[in-house]
Amino acid sequence: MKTKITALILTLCVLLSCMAAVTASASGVADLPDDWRTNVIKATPDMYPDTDLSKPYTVKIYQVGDKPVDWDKIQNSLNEQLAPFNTSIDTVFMSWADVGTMYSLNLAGGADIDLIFTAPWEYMFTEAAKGSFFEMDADFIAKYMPLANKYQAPESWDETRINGKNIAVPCNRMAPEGRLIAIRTDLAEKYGIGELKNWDDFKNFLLTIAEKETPESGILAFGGQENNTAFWELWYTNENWFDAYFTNNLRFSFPYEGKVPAAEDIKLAWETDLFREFCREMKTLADAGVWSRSALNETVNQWQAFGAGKSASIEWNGTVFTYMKEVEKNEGVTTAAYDLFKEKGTLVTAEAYSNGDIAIAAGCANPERAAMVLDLLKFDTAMNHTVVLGIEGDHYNIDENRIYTETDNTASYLPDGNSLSWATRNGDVEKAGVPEREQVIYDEWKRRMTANPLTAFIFDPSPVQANADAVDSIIGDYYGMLGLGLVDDADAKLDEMLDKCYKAGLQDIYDELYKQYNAWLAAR
Amino acid sequence: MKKKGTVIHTNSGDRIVSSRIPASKVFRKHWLLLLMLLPAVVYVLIFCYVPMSGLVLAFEKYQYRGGIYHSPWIGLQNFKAIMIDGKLPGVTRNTILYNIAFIFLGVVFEMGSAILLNELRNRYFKKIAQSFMFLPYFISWVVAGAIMYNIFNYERGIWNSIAVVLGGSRFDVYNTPTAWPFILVFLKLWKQTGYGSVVYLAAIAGMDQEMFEAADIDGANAWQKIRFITIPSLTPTMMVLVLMAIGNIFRGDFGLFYQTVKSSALLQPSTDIIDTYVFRLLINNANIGVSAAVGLYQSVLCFITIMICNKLVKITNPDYALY
Repeated sequence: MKTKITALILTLCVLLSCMAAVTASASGVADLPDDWRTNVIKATPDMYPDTDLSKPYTVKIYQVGDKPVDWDKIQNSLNEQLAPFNTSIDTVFMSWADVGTMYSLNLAGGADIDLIFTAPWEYMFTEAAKGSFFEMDADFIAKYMPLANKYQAPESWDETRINGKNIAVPCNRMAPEGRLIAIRTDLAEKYGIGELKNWDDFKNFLLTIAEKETPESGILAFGGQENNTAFWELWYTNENWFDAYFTNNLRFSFPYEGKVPAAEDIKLAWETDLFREFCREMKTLADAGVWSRSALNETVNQWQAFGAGKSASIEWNGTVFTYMKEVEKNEGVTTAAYDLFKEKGTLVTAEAYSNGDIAIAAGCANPERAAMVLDLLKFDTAMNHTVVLGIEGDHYNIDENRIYTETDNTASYLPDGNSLSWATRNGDVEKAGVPEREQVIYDEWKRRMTANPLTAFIFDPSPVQANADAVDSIIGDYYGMLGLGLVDDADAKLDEMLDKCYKAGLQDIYDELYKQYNAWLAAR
Repeated sequence: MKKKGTVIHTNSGDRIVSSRIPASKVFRKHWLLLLMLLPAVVYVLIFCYVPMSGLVLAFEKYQYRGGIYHSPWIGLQNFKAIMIDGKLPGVTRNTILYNIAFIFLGVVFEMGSAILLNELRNRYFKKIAQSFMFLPYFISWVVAGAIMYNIFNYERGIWNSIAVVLGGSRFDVYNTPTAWPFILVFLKLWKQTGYGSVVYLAAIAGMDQEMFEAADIDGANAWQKIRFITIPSLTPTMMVLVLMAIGNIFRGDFGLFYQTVKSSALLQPSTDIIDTYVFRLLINNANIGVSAAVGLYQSVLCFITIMICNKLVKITNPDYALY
């Protein structure tokens, strides 16, 4: 009797644990659990009754960035998982060196593209204006992307919706996107410089290295190149400025004061006093030799320069840790990352969902099948983890709480290390054993994270397209030299740029922007 | 009574009037020559005539869904965008001025070096000199640009390093727009002189040697032979080459300007040409319609220029005209 009771209890325990960690393979999406973060979602072909799966189809995916070493393994694994759907994928990588020229040309040239990575910083709105992407309405999403329809954060759809239709599917993760600087602490110690707490400390470090270290060893204080976007982002963030519209060189921003701004608070970022002050400061740094006088023609970027030990500092988001590890491989080199805004308590922008998206190309021969693949890559747990983390046991190990650890082969497929993973990540996995120096910063960022209230406002510049193109082009001509301080008189050069912008119709762009913004405000 | 037929100008300047020959007869008689011409005709048709239909893009708001022929027609809107931009006069001026310098200095250097090489009597020195002059032609602008950057980089460049060691001051080439016209002309001549001189050398080799022997007998010195025999004999070749180059006077050497200047806006006032401008419009702004509009503007200017030049040459010396 005692044995029977024990057996019954054990059976009940097993059943309960199975229910707790439901492996949902129900035939209907409605039967799937609501919480996809803790439950394993296993999609089946029955969930796509409206998609014709009778014939095999290969979905061609275009990614941006360099191909991970083990990508072929990942693709083979995904194809095995997609076999029940009579579908496979084939991927093309547009390397970082080529993507600037190849992205638009591939779409314009009629390349065989089904799915393509996109983002506001990767031509999303300019390509959408040319009709490059298949437009998805609510019915299409409900019919052909049932998992995304159920699990995608509702507010995220707003970030890619133009005139009621979605041009792309954003990622499903909200994470802080702060700014960091990393420096060579071995060099800082050499000149008696301690912890950096604000911009003035950092400036002192840069000037000291430029004055004392550069003439001695040739190591530049900063690997400035092209336009010094990195430092501008630092300044911009420091004053709690958020973007209202940002495509190419057209950037309209507002100072965030805890509420949705009035139209007249939105200004061209390059017209603000903050940018003028920035230009003056950059001239001071350039004149002191903080970066090369040939920086406008330099082909080595700040990451490569820092990683190769040719510069003493770097500025970007959490990726600075990757380059810190790279340069620390050299004997005697030590580094540290600093959040210059911690004491000031500056807000940390929540990364927009649309910072990584996948669009169905307008020329896609089978949008329904492409939508299904995207749906699976995003929300079928096994497939999603394959894209984001790699192959379990080979590239990562994971526990029941979705805390993953790296393996010896992780370097061949870095977690969240390619554009497909940026667009399909859900934020359901966390890395174990994050080094303390990284964890401290991430925790601090989470505490200060604030969402931009205007991520759902999408400005359509087409009524003033000619003016927008002209102003964009003019800013492009000046931004590099102003950002790198390679001008005789920063104020005069900035005035010259703004004068040209107004002559090219900047006021018309303002008028159109305010008109659309006020309409958006009224409709909220 | 005038005889009906086609007027043909011969190389010697004679005008002959031929009666009209039926096309079928021409085909039958010259089928082998026409067959040899066929690949060139097919090439020109595919790469020069078929793409011309794409000019409609200059009048369209390009949409992928509509493609080249079914995108919305917007008339002269793309041209309006170019005018608003205000860069067209500057890039046009730069393109013309650079090409004038390239053409005329090119003629002087190419013809001059061909004549000098021809005057060299030491066979080995002549071969070595010619090879060294020819070598830069095989170096791509990408490599040339990288070499130049490593020579003139402000902090690490060879030039400035030597200057500092010798007690001089650094030269900030990449922040000195006024230096670039000289640099670009120098680079162009460095690269094209060896190759360009080959045509003149071939022309010199084809000259009647009896003229030079007669001049020797008359006691002419080397300079007199160059001045009164070689240069006049090279004039037809030079005219054809110059005419062909003038036809492209609004078309810049994209590789030279893009790979050496890169996208440095600081240098653009003195280095931006139509081709780099079109490239930036297409790549940075992904603006296909406006890029096509600037391309059409460039082609029309090239067409007008070559028509005018050919007409002028035809008036002054019909033998030297292209058609």
